[in-house]
Amino acid sequence: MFDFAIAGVEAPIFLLAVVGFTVGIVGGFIGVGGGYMVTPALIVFGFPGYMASGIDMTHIAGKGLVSSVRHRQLGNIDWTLALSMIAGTMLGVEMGVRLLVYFKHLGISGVVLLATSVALMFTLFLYTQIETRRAHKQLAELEKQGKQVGRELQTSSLPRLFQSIPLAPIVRCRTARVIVSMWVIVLVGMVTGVLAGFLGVGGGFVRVPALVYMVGASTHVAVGTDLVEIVISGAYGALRHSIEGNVDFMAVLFMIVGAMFGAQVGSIATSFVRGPAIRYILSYSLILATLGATLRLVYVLTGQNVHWLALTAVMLTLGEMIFLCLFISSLVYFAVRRRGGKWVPDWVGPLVI
Amino acid sequence: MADNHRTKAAFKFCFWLAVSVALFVYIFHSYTSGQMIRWYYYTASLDGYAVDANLSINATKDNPVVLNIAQQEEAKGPVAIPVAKGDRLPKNANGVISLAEIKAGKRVALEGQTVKVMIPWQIKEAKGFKYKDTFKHKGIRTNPWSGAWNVAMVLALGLSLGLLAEGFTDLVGVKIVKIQHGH
Amino acid sequence: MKWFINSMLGYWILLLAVSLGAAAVVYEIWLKGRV
Repeated sequence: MFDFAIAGVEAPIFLLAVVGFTVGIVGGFIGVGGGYMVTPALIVFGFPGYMASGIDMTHIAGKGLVSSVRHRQLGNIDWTLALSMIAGTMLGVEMGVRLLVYFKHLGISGVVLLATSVALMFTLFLYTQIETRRAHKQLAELEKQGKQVGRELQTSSLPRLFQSIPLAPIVRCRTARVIVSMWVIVLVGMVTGVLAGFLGVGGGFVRVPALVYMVGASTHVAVGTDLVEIVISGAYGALRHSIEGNVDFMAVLFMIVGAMFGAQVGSIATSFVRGPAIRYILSYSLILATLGATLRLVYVLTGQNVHWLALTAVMLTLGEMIFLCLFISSLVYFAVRRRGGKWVPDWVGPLVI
Repeated sequence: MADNHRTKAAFKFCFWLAVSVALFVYIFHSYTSGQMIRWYYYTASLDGYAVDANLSINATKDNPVVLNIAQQEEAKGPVAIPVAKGDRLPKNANGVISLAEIKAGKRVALEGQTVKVMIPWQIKEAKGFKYKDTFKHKGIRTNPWSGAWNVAMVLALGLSLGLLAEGFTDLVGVKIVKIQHGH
Repeated sequence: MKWFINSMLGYWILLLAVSLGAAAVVYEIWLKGRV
């Protein structure tokens, strides 16, 4: 147990490091900050709500950087894409925060925000899940036919639509292998930034699908590039939160220790899988987060009287972190088995490389 | 050739390990020396009485905690130190009971030269989770430079730990191959 | 039991059950008093 004098809480260091570790794995693999898992976990550990957000944001900046270093080595970062998005993202976040303040003045409650984030996450889950299943099927078909299959297969027609927008300047993103209007990239940054600032959800699980389905980047590059954005938006968020008094840096420190190891596992794990595998994990994380948020919404709507709802939401948050880590580890395990010529379930084959 | 590579990797690993450890020690020291805490509880953001909110945490209406109003350098013991907006907070103070709160009289009351705390915390809700909202962190402003320090430290840690990990995999000979993107 | 590994849905359910079980254990041991 450590006495966090700033937060005014005594919490076990071990649990903080473990949270950092598990969210590090997930974040390194699907390119999210993991705030929707960390913030509730910190509140459960006893940190006040406003500090939970601040500590989470600050640790995300550091953890994102650890992951980015590894993803750079893996060749998963498109710097043209990353740098083009920054301005849009920063502007978007600022707009989103101001929109939030405006809505709060209008008296729109937290319930509406929670409901909106539930609807958004569920829509994203549906689209990603349906598209990925189609891609999975096609990969299986191609493998059956004995055809050579690369790292990525994507079945959405949206990227072609966005890439055909002729607004100058047109940029060539070498690593992402995409030629697209700069304005599409800025739009992606802005939209994801506004959602992040307004709903308070991390840009990651909106930005990765946006990079895949709007810009047309491969999933691996979307993950690596998104993590760079997360460092920048995380650092900005950390600064703002620190000034508001929402950060206990010692909590951040212990989480980063765990995150450092987790980020390695998650980032390197991407080299064992194909794009659809990452999108599957992303969609699972979305549906579980949606479920958790729905439970909390129902709990709030029932006047915070039905305690088992709150308890179930806690269990789901913890369970989600463990589930995603187990699934990611399984994929790596099956990939290694397959490389060694050993048996793997049929559904695994097309997902790993 | 391989030896050269190994030597470079060893140097990289040791260098970033040293940097990471140094950062750790520095941050830990800044906490244990009280510097981090002093920069957090920096100035008062409103007029009121600076207190150590921990002392009144178990107060109730029937058993209120009485804080003596006194001008002191340190909020040691049951004291309430008058502060104005912008004043440096006394050592050990972790919250400010505002004059507005005292005027309202519901949670705290002014009695002569004492401040009586009756309701030290309220249940508030954030993102669907309940938590105890106390006088701690209220009415305080952190040193804005601590924000810059936090960001600098977290990014420095992220970079050094990331490069440390890279050095480690280089050293133990784990091959990290660049991913070939595309269909 | 085989279905839980041979089918993707089955594997998903298996892992979720294990994870929620682990979460219950973590909650019992460390978090019960705190929530």
